[in-house]
Parts: sequence; C-alpha cells; structure tokens
Amino acid sequence: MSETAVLALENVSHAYDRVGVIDEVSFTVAPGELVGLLGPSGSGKTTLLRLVAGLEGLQEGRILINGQPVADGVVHVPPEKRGVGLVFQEGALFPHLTVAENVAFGLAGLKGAERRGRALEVLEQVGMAAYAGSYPHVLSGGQQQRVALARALAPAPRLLLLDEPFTGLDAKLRGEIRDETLHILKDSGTTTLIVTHDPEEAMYMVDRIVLLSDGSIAQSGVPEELYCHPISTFVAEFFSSINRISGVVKGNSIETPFGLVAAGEMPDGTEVDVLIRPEAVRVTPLGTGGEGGDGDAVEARVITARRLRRASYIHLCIGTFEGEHLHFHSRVPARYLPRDDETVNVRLDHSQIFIFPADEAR
Amino acid sequence: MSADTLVSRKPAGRGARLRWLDGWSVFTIGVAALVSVPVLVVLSHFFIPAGDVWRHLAETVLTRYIVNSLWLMIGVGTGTLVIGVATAWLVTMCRFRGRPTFEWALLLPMAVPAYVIAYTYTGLFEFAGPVQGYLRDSFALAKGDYWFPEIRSIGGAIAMMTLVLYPYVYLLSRIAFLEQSVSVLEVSRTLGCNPWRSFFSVALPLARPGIAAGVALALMETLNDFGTVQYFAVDNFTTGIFRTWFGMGEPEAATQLAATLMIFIFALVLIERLSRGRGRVRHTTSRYRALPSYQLTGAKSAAATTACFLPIFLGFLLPGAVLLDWTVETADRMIDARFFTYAANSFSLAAIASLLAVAIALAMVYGLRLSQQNKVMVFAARVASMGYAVPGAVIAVGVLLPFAWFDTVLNDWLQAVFDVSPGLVFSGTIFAVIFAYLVRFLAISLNTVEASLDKVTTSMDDASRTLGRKPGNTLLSVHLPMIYGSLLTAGILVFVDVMKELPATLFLRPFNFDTLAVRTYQLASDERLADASSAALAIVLVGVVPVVVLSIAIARSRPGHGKG
Amino acid sequence: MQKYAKPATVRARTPSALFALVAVMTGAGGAFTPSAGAAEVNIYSSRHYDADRQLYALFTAETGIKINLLQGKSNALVERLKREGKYSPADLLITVDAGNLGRAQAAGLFQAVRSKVLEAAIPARFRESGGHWFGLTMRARVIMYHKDRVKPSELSTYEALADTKWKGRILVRSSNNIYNQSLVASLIAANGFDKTEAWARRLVANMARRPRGGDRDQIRAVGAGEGDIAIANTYYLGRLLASHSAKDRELTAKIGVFFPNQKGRGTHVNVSGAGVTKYARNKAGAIKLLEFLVGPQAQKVFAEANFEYPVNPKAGRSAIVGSWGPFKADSLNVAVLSKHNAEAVRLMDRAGWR
Repeated sequence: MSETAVLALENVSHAYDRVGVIDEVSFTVAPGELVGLLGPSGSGKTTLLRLVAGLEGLQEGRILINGQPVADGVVHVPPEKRGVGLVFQEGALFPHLTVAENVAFGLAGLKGAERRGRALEVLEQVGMAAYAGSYPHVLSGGQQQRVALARALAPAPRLLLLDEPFTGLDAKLRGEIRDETLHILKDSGTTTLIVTHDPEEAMYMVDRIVLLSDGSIAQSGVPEELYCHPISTFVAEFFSSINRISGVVKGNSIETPFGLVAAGEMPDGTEVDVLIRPEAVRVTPLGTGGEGGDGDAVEARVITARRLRRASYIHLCIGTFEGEHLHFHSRVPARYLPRDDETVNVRLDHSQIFIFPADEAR
Repeated sequence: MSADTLVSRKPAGRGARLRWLDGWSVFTIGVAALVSVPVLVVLSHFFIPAGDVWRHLAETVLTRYIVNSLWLMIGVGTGTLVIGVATAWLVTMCRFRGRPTFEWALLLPMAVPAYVIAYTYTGLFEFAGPVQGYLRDSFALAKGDYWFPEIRSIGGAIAMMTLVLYPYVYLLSRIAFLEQSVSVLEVSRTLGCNPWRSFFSVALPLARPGIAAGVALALMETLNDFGTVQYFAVDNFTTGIFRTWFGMGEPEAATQLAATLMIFIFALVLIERLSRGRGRVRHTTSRYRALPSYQLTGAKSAAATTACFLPIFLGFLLPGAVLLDWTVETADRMIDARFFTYAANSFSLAAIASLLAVAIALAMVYGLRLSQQNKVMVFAARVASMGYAVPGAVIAVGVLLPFAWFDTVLNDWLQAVFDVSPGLVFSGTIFAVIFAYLVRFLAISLNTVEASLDKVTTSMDDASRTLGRKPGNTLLSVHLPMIYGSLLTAGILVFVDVMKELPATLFLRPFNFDTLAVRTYQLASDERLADASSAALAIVLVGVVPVVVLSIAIARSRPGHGKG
Repeated sequence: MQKYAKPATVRARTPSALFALVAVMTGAGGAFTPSAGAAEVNIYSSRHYDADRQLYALFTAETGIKINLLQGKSNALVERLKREGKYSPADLLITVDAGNLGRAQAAGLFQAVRSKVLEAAIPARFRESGGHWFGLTMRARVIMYHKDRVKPSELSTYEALADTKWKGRILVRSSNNIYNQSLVASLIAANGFDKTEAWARRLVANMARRPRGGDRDQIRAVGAGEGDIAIANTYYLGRLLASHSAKDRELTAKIGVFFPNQKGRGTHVNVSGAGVTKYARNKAGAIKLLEFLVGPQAQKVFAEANFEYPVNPKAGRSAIVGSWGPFKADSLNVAVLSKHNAEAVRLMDRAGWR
C-alpha cells in the first residue's frame, strides 16, 4: 500500500461481556476507502468498532490511526483525541439540543458564525438544513439518522465509524438513506468503517468487506471476491441462502443429483459439502434446449414458484439416486415463472458451485 | 491466544483499568474516604468490649427497640409507597379536577419536619387538646367513657412520618414516570393491557429504581428520626442509642447499637441495589412525546381529587393551620430581629450544603459511569452513602472527634513554631456543620443523581466523546442539561433536609449561631409548643418555596419538553 | 420551546460559583471562630430559658464583658467539651441537674474555683465541695394534684405513690429524663437499690398512661382529667400559671402543689448550675459571671421570670412560687445524685418505666 492506512488494526485480541472474544484481528482501511465490518450478531464487530473509537480499552494488539498508535494495551488515546466520528444505530442525538446545536456540538474549535456556518453546511449536505432549529424528538427516524450523520461529519473526522446506522429504519427508507449516505461519503472522500450484519447492505455500500466469525476474520476482500470466491462454507452461506448437498470425492469429481461436479484437488474419499447458489441453478421449460449452465440438464418438478422484484424464486423437487427427493431453490430472471407442479429442465452453472471439506462446515 | 490467557482475562481488561485511574476516580475515592471518616470513627467503637451493658439491654429494652423499629419501617414503608406511587401516577398520567395544583402541592408536606407535625397533632388530638376537649364537653364524657385513637403511640408515629415522608416517594416515582418513554406505555396498551395493567406490568417495573430510591429515603429518615419518636415515647433504636450513650454513659454500647442499626439499613440498601443491578433499566429510545393522559370524569375524577387532596390536607394544611394559629397568637413576642437571624442562618447553611452535595454527587456518579462501574469505585460510592444510615447525633460525634484532633495537632504545631494558637479552626466553625451535613446527606444526592444518570443511554457519552469532548465537558454539556431536573430534585431534597436537621446542628454549631430548627427544638423541649410555632412555620415556609420551584422545574425538565 | 443554556455558559459559570462558595465558607468559618479576647466569656449552656439571655445582657451592660453563647443538650455539650480538649473555646459550662454536673466533673471538664462571693451566696449542699461546680437555681420535684379529685391528706411521700389506691391515676414523664433519673437516684440513696426497684415497678403499674411528653404535659393532663396526680418540677407549674395561653391557665387553675416527705428527709430538690472549664481562657471573666448570677439581682430574675427557687437564701421568691409555701428540702448533697445516675437508669429499664 503506497499511502499510510487511515486505520490499522494489528493482532487485536480482546475479551468482552464475559463470553465474547476477539482473536487476533488485523486489517486496514485506506484513505477514502469504505470498509464494511460484517458478521452475524455476537461476532464482535461492534466491540471492534468501540475499540477503534476508544470507547473500550484495548487488551492486546495495536490500533493505529494515520500510522500513529492510539491503543496498544499501554497507550490509550481517549476517544475525544482520536478524530473519529461515530454514528449509532439509534442516532443518539442529544435531546436537549436543536438539530443545529447537535451538529455544532463537535465543532468546539470554531466560534460563533463560523461554527453555525459549518453546521448548516453539513446539514445542507444531508438535506436537513430546514430543520436546523428543531429538536430531535420532532424528527422521524430517517431524519434523526441524517442529523446523526451530519453531526459525525461536521468536525471532518479522519475516520467515520457507522454502527448499524440503518437498522432502525423501514425497508424503503433504509434503501434511500443508504444511497444518500453512500453518495455523501464518496463525495466527501470520507474514510469509513461501517458495521453491519446485513450482507446486502455491505455489498451495496462498501469497497471492501471484513467478514467476522466468532471474533476472528473469516475472509476479507472486495465484495465480489467474497461472494464469488468464498473460502469457507461460513462465508458462502453468509451472503445468501444456499443449496447444500453432501457428497464424497471419487475420481476427482462428486456425484450429485445434477450429475458430476469437479472436485478440484481434493483426494478421493473426502467427504464434502457442495454449495450451490440459487442463481447457479438454471431452470428452463421442458423441451427447450436450455441456456447457460454446464453439463447435462436433469428434470425436476416445481413445488411452487414466487415472483420477487427482479427474480423468480423457484422451489424444486429432484429425485436422488437413493430414491429420495431433494428440496432445491433456484433464482432466475423474473421474466420466467413456471407453474406449480410443472416439470422443468435444470442445469448448474459450475462457476458458482463451491466445494469444501465437510468437517469444515461449522 | 492460548487458553490460559483467555481464562485469566477479566472483562474490564488491563487497558481499561489503566485508562480510568484518572482525576475522576481519585476524586470519587477521595471523597468517599473523607466522608467515611466519621462513620468509621463511630464504628471503631464496635470492637471495644462494652461489658455487661449488652446483657442489661438484651434483658430489658432491646426487644422493644427491635420490634418498634421494625413496625415503624413496615408501617412507614407501606404508607409512603402507597400514597407516593398512587398520587404520582394519578398526577402524571390522568387528567382530573385540580391536577395542575396537586402536581406541586403534593410535595408540600415534605417541608414539614416530622417533629413539627408531631407537635401540632399532639396539640390538636391529645387528651387535653381541643378536639377531645370539645368531644367531652359536647357529650358530657369523662376519661374512659369513650375511645379515641392515641396520637402519641407507634401508630401515631407511623402516621406522622408517613404524612411527611411520602413526598420522597412521590417525587422520585413521578420523575421516573415522567422520564419513561411513552412508546413503551403505548406498546403495552396495544398488547391488550388496560390502564391498570399497563401501570402494574410496565410503568411500575420501569419506574422501580426511582420508587425504590424514594422508599429507601423514607425508611432511612424513619430510622433516623429522633424528634418524633422521642416526643411520642416510642422506644426504638434511635432513642435507644441516645439513652445508652448519654443516659447510661456507655458510648461503646451506644455505637454498637448504632452499628446494628446501620446493618439494618445496609441490608435494605443492598437488597435494593441487587434487585436493581439485575434488572437495570436503560431507556431504549430517546424519543419522547406528550404523555398520554386518561381523562377522568364523574366519580372517578372526584375520587382522584380526594386521593390527592387528603395527603396534602393532613400533611400540610392542617398542621400548617395549627402552626399559623399559634403563630398569630405568639407573633408579637416571638418574631423579632433574632428570629430573622435564625432564618438567614438556616437558609445559608442549607444552600451551601445542597450545592456541595449535588456537585459532589454528580462528579462521583459520573466518575462511576466513566469507570464502567469499576468495583473499587462502586464500593467507594457505597461507602460515601453510609452516613445516611447513621443518626445525626452519632455523626456529629464522629465529625467532632477527628476535627478536634486535627485542630489540636494544628494548634500544638503552630504554638511550637510560631507561638500562636488560633483556636478551633475546623471543629468550632460552620465548616464542621457543613461537613456533617455532607456526611449525612450525600447519600440523598448520590441516589437521586445516580437514578437519573442511569437512564441516560451510554450512546450519549460515546457520541459526545467521539465528537471531541472530554469527559468533564461531556458531563457539563450533555448530561447536566439532560438530568438537570434530577439535580434540582437532589438539591432540594438536601436543602429541605438541612433546614430540618437538628442533632448535628445542635452539637456542632459555633457560638451565637442558632438556626430555625434549633430554635424550634429549644422552645418545644421547653414545652412551649405555641412559642415554637413561628420558627417551625418558618422552616415549613422556607421549605415550601423551593418545593414549588422544584416541581415546576421537574415538569419542564422532561427531555423534549416543549410545545414543538 | 424551552431554551437550554449553551454548554459554554455552563462551563464559564461553574468555577466562579465554586469559588464564591469556598469564599463564603472560609469567610463564615472565620467569622464564627470566637476570639480569645479578655472582654468575652464563652458559655456552653443547656439552659434554654429566655430569662438567661436577659441576664447575660445585664451582665454585659454592667461589666462590658461580651457573652458568646452556645446552647445545646447537656450530654451533647459535655461530649463536645470532652472531644475539643485543651483548645476548647468554652470558659463556662452551664447545665441543669446535679446529675449532669457530676457527669461533667467526672469527665474532668471542670477546674476547681475558690471564690468567697460564691461560697457565701450558695449553701454548701448546692455546690460541689471542691469548687468544681456551683448551683445557680434550685427546683423541687413535687407531687401535683387536682384539687377536685385528690385531698392533700391522701398524699404523704414519694414512696407512698406505690400504693395500689393510685392505680391508673399517676402521670409522670419518661425515664429518659434526667429529672426522673435524679429523683430515683435520691430514692436509691435513701432506700437502697432493691427497695427502690420494687417501688418503681409498683409506680409503673399505677401510671395513668405510658409516660410521654414533658413535665408540663403531665400537669396539663391532670388538669384535663387524664390522671389525678403528676410528678413534676415546680417551675413548670409556675410558668403554666403565668402563661400567655388562656387555655393553659385554665387547665392549671385547679392544680395543687404537695411537697412530699416533709416528715422525713424532705422533698427531692435539684439544681441547675455551672462550672468553670478546665481549659478556660478567660477564667476571671467566667468567675465574675458566676458571681453575678448568684447575686441578688440575677437571682431575682431567675425567680421572677422562670419561677425557680433561688439558691441564694437572701433572694426572694416570686409570688406564685411563694404561694406554695415553705418546705423542707432533702438535705442530701446534690452531688451524690450523679453517683447513682447509671444505677437509676438501669433500675427504671428493669422496672419497665419507659
């Protein structure tokens, strides 16, 4: 990396809440970068965020901001000296201050008109200038969140931390605010670490994802890489519901109801999980040659099919060699929606199939 | 990371500990140490063998002390809980005739010292008093011909104390109700709870820390009351301590009794703490809207009006009227220049003590919060609250002892080095009086401030800190304005208590420095109840002004209050 | 919409407020430290009568010596003196009851004083032989009865109050009170511990009600008919009779005073008195004040304004006190009372005299 990272965590370990443990976590955030700290609840992501902000005392490892250590178990730079902004899930606006006063709160270095000017400028940025004189309790959840963002951005922090900032909002609003926030952050070039449990949100917002599992990093990289090249069952499963078939490697391949799947380097006799994303299950009407996919088509029965916004979600039933039936999900572009009980052709897109040794799952 | 380091690691890790050994914790621990000195001085007597006094006490009076103290606690605890919570709920959540007035008027009895209400009720209802006299004259009755409740009895003492102590519960539960987020109550209504059930299943549990703090205050006041039980001849631990110390000349046994009383109270506090610790209630949303109000009509409204009027009438209007009557009778003799000096003395003592008590409590509670309830700090705060469990006179001795020692050392040294001796600089001045007040009443402000700071979500701290404010600045610019209603409350509670405080003031005050309470006591103990009325009435009136101001401030201080 | 103070203002205001506070405290502290000037006498007094202030004003007018006064409960003052030790500002301790005076003496708080004036004015049994304390006034603890319901011929001695004919008729205050403690101490001195305990048990059985209130309460209760006789100090009746309250005067109009044990050792009497403190800085001034207080002028004020018996035999009694007639007082040296005090308290505990 040519530039100094705005944030660097080096081998951070930390026990918290009596049960949680963060174990040897290291990652960096480059200037202007938006990094998502993703993980299920209890994976330690909020604790990491609080460690970065200085709200929690670090036990082991090192945290550097702009190359300067701010916490290494001996040194502890207090939060107010770290130059980080923080936006909370619930906004946490000061109820006794107006919107403008809230935003100006972090501008202690500025005086009078300059201070008001900067507050209004940021409020303008988030589209809340009209509410400058209002008190937080008259604002809607979305508006409160915008003000919270403005408040955190006002002092132009070196690093902005967002803690599940959109969770409290309803779906439509969430989409809007997420979009706005992304633009504001990108326009201002703010270096941002955002904590979320929602993979879709992470993929929408960030340049790079750090995926946590039980206090350690499961995988990190650009969203596409995590989605397309997961390195474990956990990672693969985290981003979407996924079809999973157990099998055994025999002659470099694995037998599935869809036919043979290449096993790569894995030795014969390895028990494996074959993970197939729903969009890798290509469904076409019977009799058509089908499109895309690899290998031969097999027949399957449609249990039911639902149309979502941009895709059709199809529940399928396919016979196995043992005479059992396997329940399967497929996601196809929405222009195709089979009838219930229709028999269809199914093919797999082998580029979206992931195979991991079975014992590694969980 | 190896397994054993995992096991050995505590939740608040090394980093955390290093981080909080700062001015705040030093202050908290320092204050706690200072304030606990008098209590420890008294407790140190505990280990001096007291000979056969204990056998004598156990054989004769100890059972009576225990039984009476227990009955007082049960009676006053129940009474204040029922009256305090019921009126607070009615006034906060319902609309009925007279409600805006009741809102503040319900606090009025707080301004009446228990010993004063005891004097006035006795004057009214004793055998030789006007009420029984009137009954006897009207129906030509003599002694034994009729039954009349004996006012100077344990039941009377419970009634008197309940009437003047319920405002503690009212005040703190009302604040708790006011600070509740309305959505929680609305959720419960939508979940099918009627108003009564939402009250018992949602509002009450949420308000519990406040209510518990209120009842704890009332109970401690009960156990510490000396004037009433003494006057009503109800022997309990408090009168026992005095009798053993001064009557029998056995300070060791007396302090051992005091220590026993303290254990009583500590157990109470501990139970309250434990239950609160488990169900720590943090407000889940920072959104507040106008509280819902049930409009009461007809009989319900009349019942609510009566329920709120009665405590005010019995606890304030009636004794106030009696005092006023007596005062008018004696004003030309009793209200003179000296009288106004007493009033000024009382007022300035109370003002200084309450300001200090609130400032110190705020700093300590905030230090506790910063330390994330670090065990040492929590312990320090508990230690600083101990004084409330000790009768004022015992504290006075505990204050005098180290102060006088320090004065002596100082004088010896000055005499040796400079050949001057300034006399008693600490023990003979109002410095000692105010210090005793702090020892005695810091718990009140600590409890109140803590209960309200607990309700401010820690996100507020985090937000402020990450916005570049230091802890002290955060306290002043975020917490202070958010909880300032509670700070006022704490201040007023201390103020009124200091105005009423008697034994420590009597014991420690300097020459020519009398307060209204001292004057009232002197006249009353000379059995000049009517002559004492002007000073007593003045205590009551001085207490009333801040009580009213306070009530208005609380109503305004609710987060998000306003028309917007 | 409510306005909140801006953080900046709060910040600026707080320190100055604190400074002001500290200034007030230290200033006040200084103001109340009494100077040790020779023109001042510092008194710790447990007497809370307005007559006393009158006397101090007279003394100041006469001598130019200023009086600084601290009133408090006797035990508290004794405790405070003890704790303050050699730098205590007090020159004189004034308290009621020989029991209290004896206790202070036992704690070593007084110094011996020799004064011809005092010795001439005060009979020997009303002062401590070593000159540690001197009686200033005398009071008798007598039986008061309702003239309609009790004939004086039915009364004789304290001991006779144990008779069952008084069942449910006797009013007396709590045993917490030093007056009762000293009365019982005098009975112990006269009759011994066991006899006195038996007497106390029977007396408790004869009580009209559980003891409560002060002496005046007992007298009023007799007037109102709650009981027929009361044990009380004389000056309380005097003050009730001369009260501003018409009701009090009415209630006490029918009360008679009976001096018990006239055929034997005499009625139990006690004193209020004073001693010069061990570390007095103005010993001369303190003695001067004592001499003033036993002089005829001061003794008259005690008698007229507070209805006490003067200790100085040369001083007269008030009209009301005079109307009760002369009596024979117990010749026991009042200093003995404090010796039996602790015993008396325990005895009353055992007898159930609350």
